[in-house]
Amino acid sequence: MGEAVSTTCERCTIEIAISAMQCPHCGSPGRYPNVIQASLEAEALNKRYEDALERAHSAGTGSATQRFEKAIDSSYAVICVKANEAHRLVFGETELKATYYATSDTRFPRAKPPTGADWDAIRELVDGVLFTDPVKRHIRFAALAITFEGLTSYGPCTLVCDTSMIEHRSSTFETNSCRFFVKRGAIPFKDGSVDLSQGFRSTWLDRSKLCTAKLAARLAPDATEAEFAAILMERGATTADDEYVEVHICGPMSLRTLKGIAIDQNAPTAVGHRGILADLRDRLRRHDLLLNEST
Amino acid sequence: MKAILSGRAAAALIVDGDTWHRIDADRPEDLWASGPHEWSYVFGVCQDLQFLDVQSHEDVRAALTAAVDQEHALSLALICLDPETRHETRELAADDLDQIVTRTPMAIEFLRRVFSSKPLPSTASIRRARAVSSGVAREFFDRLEHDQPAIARVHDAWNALPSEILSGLDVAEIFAFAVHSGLCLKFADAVRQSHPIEIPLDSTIAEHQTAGDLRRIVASWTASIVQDAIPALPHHRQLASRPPSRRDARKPGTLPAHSGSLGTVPAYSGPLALLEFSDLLVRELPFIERLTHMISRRQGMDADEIEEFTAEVRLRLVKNDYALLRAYQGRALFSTYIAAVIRRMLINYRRHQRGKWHDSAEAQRLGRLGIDVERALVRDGRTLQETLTLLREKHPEVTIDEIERIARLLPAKVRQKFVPIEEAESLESTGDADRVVRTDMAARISAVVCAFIDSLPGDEQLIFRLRYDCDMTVAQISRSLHRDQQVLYRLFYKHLDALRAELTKVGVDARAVEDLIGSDSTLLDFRLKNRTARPSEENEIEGADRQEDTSS
Repeated sequence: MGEAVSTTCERCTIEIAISAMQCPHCGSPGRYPNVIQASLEAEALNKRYEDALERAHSAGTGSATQRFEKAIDSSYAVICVKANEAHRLVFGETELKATYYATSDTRFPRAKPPTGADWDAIRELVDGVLFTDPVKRHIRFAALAITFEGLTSYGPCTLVCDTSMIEHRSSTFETNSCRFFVKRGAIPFKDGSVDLSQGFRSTWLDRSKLCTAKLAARLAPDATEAEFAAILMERGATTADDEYVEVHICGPMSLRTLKGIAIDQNAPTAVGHRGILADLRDRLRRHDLLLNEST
Repeated sequence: MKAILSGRAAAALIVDGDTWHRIDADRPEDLWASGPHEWSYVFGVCQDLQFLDVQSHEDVRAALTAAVDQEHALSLALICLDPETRHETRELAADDLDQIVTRTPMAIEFLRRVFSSKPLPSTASIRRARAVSSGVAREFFDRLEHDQPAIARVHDAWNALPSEILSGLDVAEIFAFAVHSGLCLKFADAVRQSHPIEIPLDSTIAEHQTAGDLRRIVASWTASIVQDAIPALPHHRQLASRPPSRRDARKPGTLPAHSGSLGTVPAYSGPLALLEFSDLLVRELPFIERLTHMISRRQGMDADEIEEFTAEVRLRLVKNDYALLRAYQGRALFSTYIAAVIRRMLINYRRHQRGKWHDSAEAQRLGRLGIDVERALVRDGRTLQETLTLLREKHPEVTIDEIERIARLLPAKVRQKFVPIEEAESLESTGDADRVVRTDMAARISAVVCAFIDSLPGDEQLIFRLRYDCDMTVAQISRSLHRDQQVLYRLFYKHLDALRAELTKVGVDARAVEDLIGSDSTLLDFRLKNRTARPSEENEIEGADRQEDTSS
């Protein structure tokens, strides 16, 4: 995955770093480095995609692959969080939020591990997950899902992003990016002997190509929609065994970014959660954002 | 072993060498295999990461539980306060909140710190929150409601912080830091309870780089609070700048002034503090001048004298780095204090102008009316009619004949009279025959006193000068020179006894001195002003010279 380090600004055509979110020369805003990087790998992705289609036709799963692609075209980016975090997002629309949550949020800047021998190793790993400065600070991580159910082991509340609010600034990645790089020996970063093949990421619009390239070989000829969902997001025995397509969303998110929130029926009801979950449901209903009201 | 945890994410990652584990607050007893790939999913966009060096998984569980309880407590408190919350949900949240803060007392402290940041918005339903809560949660809401005025004052003071103090600093970060370190809460408590102010930053926070910035601005912030929020600020500052006394110890809840890991805020010390006093004087000057005019008029001063005395008051208030303002201890209203100061200044002013006044024995024999008449006619140089007008308020029955009768009984006294230089030549000499005698006596007394003072060591001469030239009290001299007050008293008694003996030796008794002081003390000259200047005066003079040189 030999990453290009520069591109040209569409407006002034001067060479700029891919990581620039705004052109340093003409000031053109609205650049999403993750999307630009993905679009630069479009050719490599197409090659993987066409190879996958060819194999699917050979295996007699061409029809299933087409249906799978169609299902992926209407997939969502989902983020699972604890009830407390979801509540903050919803409650953040109130006046009280500005007063107190804001104060609480700014306790310390978004943290990096402190310096020190052991911590430095951790920092290197974590920085690798988040790509490089300054992009990493702006990337939100989600998973691609066909249903409203995400990786609930990370939290009982699934935030489902409104596609229209993220499609222009999102890219998808083959799997958990950190695990991907670790497996290829790219983290901790070593000298250039690492396999950094291209074609493992896509723009949001090309996400079905990436999913097909990754998963077409696993489709049965008569696979159903429910099976598509299970193949796309495979929950393992532990979170380390989860397998999914990762979504990178560049930039901020608010309640308005969401299509809605689904609450896992098995959400914990211990002290502290009861009041928060009850209030969360009240507010989601009021905003018509509770996605699984009937279940 | 390292741990990264977030109360809001309700999870912790534990890194032990190459092994990673995760603990989830919902099931803290379970230890999940993990890795760096989980980082983004576990913590997401949560800002409240804590990085810990720990000995065991139990340490992580304890820290995680506390962090999660704090976050839950904040959410639950806000649910209780939000006007849109349904009644049933509010009850549930209040019940949860009470259970959480009961099992994790530090959660209450966290809530108090966060809620000290700003006053509650007008939409907050604190009464409903109180109504549905009980136990520790109810106590918290009660106190929160009670603290609102103090929190608002501190918040106003923060907003009034001079921008130049904060230039180049991240104001939001500094403020958040002040909130989370407990400083805002301490200020609010200080405002509400009239306590000394201290900066209690715990060790982990004190190491944060923002702590340095905070320490640099906190003195100014204190000053802002003083100006805008604490009417009796100098009292607080003085408390903060001296060790606690036994009297402090008797006050319930009074905090030791020099505790806290970063120490007490240095109260009104340094140039910033002096700027504050300058501002205070400028702000209060119209009031002080009105008061000065009123007191002067009551003492019968004419317009010219009032103007002159008012200028003297202004000068005295800025003298010695606003020493008179700094001396205010908040035991009375500022207006009461400043009125007493002006009255005292007036006495000194008059004494300086006319010499120290002693009522004659005859006036004292005539009683209160005799004393008042002598003071008006002889000391202040009033006419009979003016004296009558002045005394009618105090002695309604007095007549001009009665004043004339008393005046005839009083002994003759000569009072110094100031006249414009151009009128001096036209004035007649009083031709008082006793004046020669008194002048001779004054010269003898002055010679003895001067010789006596000259014989003293330099530091003791300075003490005499401060006492009798600068009219400082022994207590003030004690504070200024850092000398024990009792030792100073003993020193004065010893030297005054010795001086009395010297005067007696040359035939001057106490009565002669008393008469001279009572009639014409200006004849006495102890050359106090002509002695070697104090080091501080030398500096002042040099500074003034330099300034003049620069300005010219």
